[in-house]
Amino acid sequence: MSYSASELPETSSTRPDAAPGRHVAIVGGGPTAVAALVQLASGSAVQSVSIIAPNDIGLTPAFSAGGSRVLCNTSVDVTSLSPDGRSDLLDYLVGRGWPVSSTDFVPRYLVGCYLRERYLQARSAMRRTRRPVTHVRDRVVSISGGPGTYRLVLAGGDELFAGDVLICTGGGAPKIPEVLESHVNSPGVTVMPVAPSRLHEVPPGSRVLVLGSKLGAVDAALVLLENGCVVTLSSPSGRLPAVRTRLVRGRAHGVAEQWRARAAHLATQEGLRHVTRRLVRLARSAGAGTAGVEPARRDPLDQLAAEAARAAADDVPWQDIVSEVIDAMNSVLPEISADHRQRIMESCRESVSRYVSAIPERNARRLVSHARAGRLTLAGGLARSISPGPEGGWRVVWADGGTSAGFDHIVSAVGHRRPQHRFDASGTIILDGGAGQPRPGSEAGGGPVRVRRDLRLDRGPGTPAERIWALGATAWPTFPVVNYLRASAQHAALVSAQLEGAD
Amino acid sequence: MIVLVDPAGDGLGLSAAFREEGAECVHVYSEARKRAYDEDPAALRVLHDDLESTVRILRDLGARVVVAAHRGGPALADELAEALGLDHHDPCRRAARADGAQTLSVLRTAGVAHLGLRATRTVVGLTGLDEDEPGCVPASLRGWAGGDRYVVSTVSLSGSHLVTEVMSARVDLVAGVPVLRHLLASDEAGRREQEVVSCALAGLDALGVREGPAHTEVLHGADGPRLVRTSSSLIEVGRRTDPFHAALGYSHRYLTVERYLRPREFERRLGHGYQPRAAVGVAYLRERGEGRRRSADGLRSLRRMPGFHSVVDLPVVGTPQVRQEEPARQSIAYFVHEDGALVAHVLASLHEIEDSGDLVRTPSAIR
Ligand SMILES: Cc1cc2nc3c(=O)[nH]c(=O)nc-3n(C[C@H](O)[C@H](O)[C@H](O)COP(=O)(O)OP(=O)(O)OC[C@H]3O[C@@H](n4cnc5c(N)ncnc54)[C@H](O)[C@@H]3O)c2cc1C
Repeated sequence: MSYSASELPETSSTRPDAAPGRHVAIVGGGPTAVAALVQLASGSAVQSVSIIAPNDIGLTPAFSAGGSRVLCNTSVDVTSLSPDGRSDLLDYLVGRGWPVSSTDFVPRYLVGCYLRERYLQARSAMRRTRRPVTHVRDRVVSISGGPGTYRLVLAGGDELFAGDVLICTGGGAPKIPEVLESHVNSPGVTVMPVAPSRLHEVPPGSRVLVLGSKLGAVDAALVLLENGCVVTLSSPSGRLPAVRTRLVRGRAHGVAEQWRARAAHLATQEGLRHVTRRLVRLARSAGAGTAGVEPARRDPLDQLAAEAARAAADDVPWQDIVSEVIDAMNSVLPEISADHRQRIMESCRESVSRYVSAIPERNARRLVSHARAGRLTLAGGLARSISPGPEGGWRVVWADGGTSAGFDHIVSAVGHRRPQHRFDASGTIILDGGAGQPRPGSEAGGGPVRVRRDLRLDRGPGTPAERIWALGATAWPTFPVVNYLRASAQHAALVSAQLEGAD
Repeated sequence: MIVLVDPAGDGLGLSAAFREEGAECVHVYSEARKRAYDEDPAALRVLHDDLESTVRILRDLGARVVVAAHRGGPALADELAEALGLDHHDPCRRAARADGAQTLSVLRTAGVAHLGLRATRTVVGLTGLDEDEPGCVPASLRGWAGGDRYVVSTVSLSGSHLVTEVMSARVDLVAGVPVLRHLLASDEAGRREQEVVSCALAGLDALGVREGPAHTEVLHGADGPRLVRTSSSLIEVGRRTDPFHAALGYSHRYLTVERYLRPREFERRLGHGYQPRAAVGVAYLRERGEGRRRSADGLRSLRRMPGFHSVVDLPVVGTPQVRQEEPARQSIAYFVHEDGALVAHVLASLHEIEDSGDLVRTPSAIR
């Protein structure tokens, strides 16, 4: 069965090669897909949209059901489907009676409500102007054909045709640490992301090892701790995220312009040193506060306590340049060569992850109080092996020194693999998870999907411009900071402008 | 005169609905419901003792219709309707409706997949908030059957069934005890829901359910839908029908009234199928912690959630918390929205708030 004949408006042809931009397929149903639909609904070029995703549109793990304690780590100001102007999330929440300001970190479930309601509104707006929006509950396995006549093969066996394709498939599958690989399906092991209700199933009093120490791990630890568990966090970096009280757009300091002016030297040692020096200076002077960043301490929990105390005193000057720095990274770095970009990102990966993905002050305070009460500890090192304990639970042997410890439950929260969409030898795009991993040799003539700075897929020099765009996490590494709703909203606006334009 | 058998809980609401439309009701209580009989202020009420005398009283009152107004009522309602010679369910299947083993055998013959008697006994019921509900299995005996749980409510006329609500249920194991967290009648009926409905309707036919309200519980697991139990009585999912009117334009209670008082109007509905315009969520609010309630400030969040309709029996600050084994005293929150997925998201978020002790705070709640 093919959806196109029945789903397209009567005026469209099944293979709309004559009218690119008229029928758009959005692959994926997360926040990025909603951002895209909202943009398409506000324009007029697109005649119909099919969204192919297995889930309820807008409701994916990042903003899934959670209580009032599972907070966004981005303020209302930047957690918005509209990249410019007043935050659309702010308007939504005000309209629902929340006493909220643009600096607040709101519970993540509220962003889920927001995304779902904005999706429903965009769908209605398009339908009112006789532009059908259809949700096909399936996964896309592959995309073949060329501009105007793309053929999408779905996992259920159906196929669908579209003039333009927007790939909004998010990050890849969760990463699993090697030591845990053989136990992932065992009882007593949970791989994030899961709904907090699943973590509530871990009995109070359990000793839980959480693998990871970044945002996802911190959130999981908080849910477990507040359910009465005793938690140990463990990660390769051994560092916890920084602490902030807001992430908002502020007064511009011309960061992107400075970087652009030095674009040719950005990736050199000297260029990087220069950029870092300027950012540190800016961080000191950007907001109210005594000095720049909190000096590094040996014990990450001490560091957290010190940063939480400064945040409580509203003494976090660096936080007011973060939004501008992210925007600069996402606007300037796509303009430079892939090698240079990679060099820059490698050199600043730790700081980006620590400061860009800082945690809200309220969460930091809760972590500190659990640590002081002896319920939260940080493992000194990495797990070398994990095996079932003699009396149930798990025995963990640490890498340094070979000491061991017993746990009742293990939670893996070490983040996601990067999505691995690729072209095969015939030029067909195989979506990650669609047909297993590439077989040796099958890459000949094919390769990983690359994304241009206008977000179009790129098959390499000399090939015609595709009308397939990659938005959100799929745009990594061309766009370096993608796990951020604002980046999705910016991508949606950029693609919509191209669809509305003459190209 | 409408005879309402065991009109406990929502059954009294059914009585009020009949009176609202000008019909008179008599309430007949079985022995087991003596307490409800004593507490019922209705002028016309009978405590059933022997069939002959109850039938005589009902005949004298001009009984035209017998309706089981509660899950405990169908057996007596069957008996009375048959003795009074009134249109009711198939009398040949009376035993099959009343006795578990016979139910199973009739369903098996009719090819309706059933959960099995032992398993059914251990599955916590989804409806009936009345605390002295006779069919209620003691908490210690309640087991857990995997799969998605549904309730299909119907109102029937001469053997034709009108599906009024298809509700999915969330049942959680809390400290080893299954607890009903919510029922959700969604705006969309997918393939799964259609299979559930087919199973429920086949069950009603096999058991000879022909007239009035009924509700059927179905479990949908890896091997498809299986009937858990059928009760030819009014469903009781909350204490309010207004949210259902807001979402669907009707409620099980008022369609039952229509079925008996204006059967012609009711008949027109039969051709249209089940077409919900909006979703309804019914959340049974769980309190966490122990001791007296210090505040119920989580209600602030609840009331701002999309689709919020109302809450009944609000937790009273200063009084002791209600435990999950006391469904009759739990607060109930209702949600109505055109989008079932959003209501499902809101319900799941609300449960997280309940489970972290942020809905109703007590001194012992973990903060
Ligand atoms: C725990 C957590 C907390 C976060 N908190 C924040 C925050 O506070 N603020 C913030 O700005 N960002 C946050 N993020 C980042 C957030 O993930 C992104 O902002 C946003 O969710 C990206 O949306 P997306 O639609 O690109 O990806 P996703 O939300 O991952 O959605 C991907 C969609 O694609 C579908 N899909 C995948 N493959 C296919 C296929 N082959 N065919 C069809 N459909 C497919 C999936 O089913 C899904 O619908 C958080 C992320 C996580 C994991």
